[in-house]
Amino acid sequence: MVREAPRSILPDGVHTGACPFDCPDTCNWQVTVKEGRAVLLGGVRENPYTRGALCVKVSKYLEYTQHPDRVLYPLARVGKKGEGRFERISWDDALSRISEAFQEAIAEHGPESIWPHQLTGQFGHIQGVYSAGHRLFNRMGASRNAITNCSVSGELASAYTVGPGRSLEPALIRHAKTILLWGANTISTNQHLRPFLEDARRAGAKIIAIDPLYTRTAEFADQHIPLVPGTDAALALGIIREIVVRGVHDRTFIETWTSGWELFQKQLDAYDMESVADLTGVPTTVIQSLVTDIVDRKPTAIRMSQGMQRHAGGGMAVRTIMCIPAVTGDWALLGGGAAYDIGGYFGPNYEKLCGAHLRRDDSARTLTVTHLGVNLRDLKDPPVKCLYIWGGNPLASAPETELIRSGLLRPDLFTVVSDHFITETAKYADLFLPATMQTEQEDLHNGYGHLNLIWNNKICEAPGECLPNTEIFRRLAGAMGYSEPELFASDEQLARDALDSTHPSCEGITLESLKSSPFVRQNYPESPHTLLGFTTPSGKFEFDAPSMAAEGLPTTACYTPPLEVADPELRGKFPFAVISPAAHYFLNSVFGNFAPNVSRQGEPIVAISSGEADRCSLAGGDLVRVYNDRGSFVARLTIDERLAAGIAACPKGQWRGLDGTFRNVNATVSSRASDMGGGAVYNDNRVAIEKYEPNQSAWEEQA
Amino acid sequence: MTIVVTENCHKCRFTECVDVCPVGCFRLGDDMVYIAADDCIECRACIPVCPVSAIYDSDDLPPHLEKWVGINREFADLLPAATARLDPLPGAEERRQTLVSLS
Repeated sequence: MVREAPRSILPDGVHTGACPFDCPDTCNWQVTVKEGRAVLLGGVRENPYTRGALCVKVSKYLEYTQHPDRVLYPLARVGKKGEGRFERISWDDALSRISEAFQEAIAEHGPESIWPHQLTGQFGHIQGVYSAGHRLFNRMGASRNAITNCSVSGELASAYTVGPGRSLEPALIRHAKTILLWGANTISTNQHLRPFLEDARRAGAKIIAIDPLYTRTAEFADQHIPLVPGTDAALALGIIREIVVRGVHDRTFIETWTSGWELFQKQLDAYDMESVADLTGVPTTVIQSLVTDIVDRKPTAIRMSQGMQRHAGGGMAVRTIMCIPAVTGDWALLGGGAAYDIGGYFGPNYEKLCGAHLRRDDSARTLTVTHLGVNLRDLKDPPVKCLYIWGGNPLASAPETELIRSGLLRPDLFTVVSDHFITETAKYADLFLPATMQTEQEDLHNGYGHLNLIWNNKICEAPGECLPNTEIFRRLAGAMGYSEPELFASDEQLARDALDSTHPSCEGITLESLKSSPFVRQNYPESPHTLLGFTTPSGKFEFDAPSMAAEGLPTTACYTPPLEVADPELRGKFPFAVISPAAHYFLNSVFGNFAPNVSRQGEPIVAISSGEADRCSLAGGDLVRVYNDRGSFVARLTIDERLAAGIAACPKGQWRGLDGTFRNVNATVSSRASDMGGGAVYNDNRVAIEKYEPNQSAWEEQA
Repeated sequence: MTIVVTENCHKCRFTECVDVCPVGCFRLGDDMVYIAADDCIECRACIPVCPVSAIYDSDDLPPHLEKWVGINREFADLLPAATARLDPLPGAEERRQTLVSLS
């Protein structure tokens, strides 16, 4: 049967927008409309970052918007929580039920008993993580929400070290001669950087992947250096010590552009080659040759990504790695430095956009999404009585999912989920609200891997009764009886409020200029980082950041070891340090229900080396139960000889395990926090692996 | 599971695909191009720009063209990268018109 393409609201022609997902690339896309239908999705060719390409995850997005399981109407639960049985209700009914539950919670427990639990399924400054719902929940006085599952530790680290969001622009990597893809699976999760890497390689650059896993990026690189998970900062300190020992550190740069060097360098003696090799598992000869590349082939550009900072010392790892180009002085060279999330280059007026003035009591608590299960169980004064989840599926993507599941089963908890599908999380909702997808709504996007701003045009009719997040929150504000005009601002007005900023990135950029072009670059030149300047309190690169003391952190960049990975006692019980990297064909858990992507990704797997499999009396192809004290999941064992002893890999994002239950690797992940910002520790996790007998119910056995 | 160039490219070689490919995964044969599956990121940018509709996602490949998955793999290993757009082969435009009229 031939699929009928989505109906368009725009005239025939090509209309532009942005991919909405949690990815550094934020692709500039275009939709071809022919005879009133959106027939083709592709990348915008003239965008110098996207270069006309989308990616394997998103290329079939138009089909995805027509997924047969998509929910098109508001639903109310009729079965037990978790059963997933719902009946259709009207929007008016849904909104009045929500407002009633919210008012009751406010009257009995205060507004902080409401948790607006937003996650990263929709980026963007209008519909997404940066603002949607914030005005309403500020007005309500609800608990604040901190999205801590992804990048926060590295973001704070980056802020302490070079200034908020102000690390190296990744595209400048093409000018580098040594490129370290450090804890970054660029080929899978930052695909549009690849042409820049190819450009650099053609110009003579050497590309080195530093990663415990042999990823597609390791395959692409000229050299792969595996290390013990979470020991990245120790390797960085070993590199730095060796640079100093060789006497090739850039004294002029250090004196002119940095602060805290004296304090920082005191620790270096402890990181001699042998000690670092012991800690990291990287042979001394490999570290020596890495140092030679760094000092002989300047500048060095380091690309870090989020996975590396998901452990007990994750923030400090990002911070310490950033010190390498400060010691060599490469931050002063075009293409030199270290790149992390660069979303902070964009400086819209967040206070206005999010309606900060609408919050009457500024003392409201902040709840971190990493601790959803713990908070649902333990919070008192007030407890969480109402949970409104949008842009996310915590039962697939958050740590310690079984604790979350028991929290969501609490009979006194009122849960709203707004999404596109009945996800595992949505099955526990009292009410389900159907949201629009990206081609059916307007949004304003920056990227956290590039400096372009993109206006996303609404191109297609919303199917059924799906509504944009902003419209849902406007209607909910009305149902709550609120009257502040800011709560009813149109999407365009929200965009204007965002751009009403004195920040240099917004200078000369208006809604009109964004709408008249597929993309607009923020006002930054491509220049050596020292010309852009460090935006730390001292205006310098901070080896020592006194501001960290207020958070109880060591102020000097250093090595903070991982917790579970480095725990010998735990290793006895749970012999595998398991890494859960991004799957090539999923984006977090998005597309985990979309056949073209699921069939490419294949079934849930856990990979170990054949030596480890032998030791555990297992064989490739076995169904195995992966478990620890927090939970378990069932996957297919695959053999990967490139994995070191004691390391297991399990790509994330699968919706269900091979026992048919909706449990993935996150059932085993702890919800404890990393060193900075309450960040999640997905890659600081230990498990055991045993053969799974299909008639055994893994979870019941645990209970 | 992959993107492949098929028989319509033969003796045409318009190379619009080479121009749009973000990762340089096309390989240049004497009378057509091939895709190196290991380099392709399956972004599908090339599929709609081919003037003779020679490029397919293997998921959408008609049965009589399935052999081209193997052919692409085999030839891609032997051939140099296509680095820039080239003039079409002589007779390509006539061939394109024939192919269009047949489709």
